[in-house]
Amino acid sequence: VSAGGLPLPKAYPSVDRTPTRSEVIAYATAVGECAPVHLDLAAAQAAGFPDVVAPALFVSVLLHEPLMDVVRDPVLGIDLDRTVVGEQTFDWHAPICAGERTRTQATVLVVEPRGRHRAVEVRTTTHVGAELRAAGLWVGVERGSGT
Amino acid sequence: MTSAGARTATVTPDAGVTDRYAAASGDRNPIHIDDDAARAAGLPGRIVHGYWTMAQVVRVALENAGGDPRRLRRLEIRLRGVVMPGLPLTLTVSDDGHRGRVAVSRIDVEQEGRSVISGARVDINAEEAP
Repeated sequence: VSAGGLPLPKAYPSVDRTPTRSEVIAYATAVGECAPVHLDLAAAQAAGFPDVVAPALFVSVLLHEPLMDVVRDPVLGIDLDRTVVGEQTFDWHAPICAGERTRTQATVLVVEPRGRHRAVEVRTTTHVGAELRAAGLWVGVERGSGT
Repeated sequence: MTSAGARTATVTPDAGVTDRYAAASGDRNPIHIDDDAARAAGLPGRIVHGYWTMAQVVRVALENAGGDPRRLRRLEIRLRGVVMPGLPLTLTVSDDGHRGRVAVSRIDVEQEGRSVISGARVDINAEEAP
């Protein structure tokens, strides 16, 4: 698929990030998680995890920098101030725990007008080592850029 | 309309939730943390992060299914409207059948009678992970 002559799909460099225990606990607290596996090391270990378990949507935090690289790519010409997440799909294969080194990679699939707006579809993968932990499809909507 | 198996949960994003979520997630888009910037963007005031709302959808669906994070498989969601801090959200979880070992839930979310998410889908493995 190409939009305005853009060569798509376009893959971006991966971004490594190792969430700390305090980052996971802060995220869990911010989204109202009460389950001890997200908040307490001993509870997480008793349940068989190496450290506190990141809530499922923590994967969106790991996407933040890779998606910013896409949105700021001058070739695509996306206006960050007018772009919001419109749709999201995630497939989770296993939880991510504090201390695990993650690698997240984004690939732009589609940039096209949809009604009054412009849609940007980005496929993402988050690995720990060779293991795929989560895959996503982010659909950003740039408001007021359609035909 | 809710089916016989539907359950509802109420979650209220308090006035400080967008500041806490911005700090915890790194998403400091001004429309979430600055009322003036949000109004300049045509919004009534600061709005709740979409991923905070998605986290509520997954949390409620997973709690409804026993809570083991290893069993979560999939989320499909479209954001229809903005969520404002300070007003309760009503989440309705309905059983939408099975696809093999996976139990499918449908989640609808309203705020003050206004639909903000319609027909989100959460897939959760029906069996405990080994």
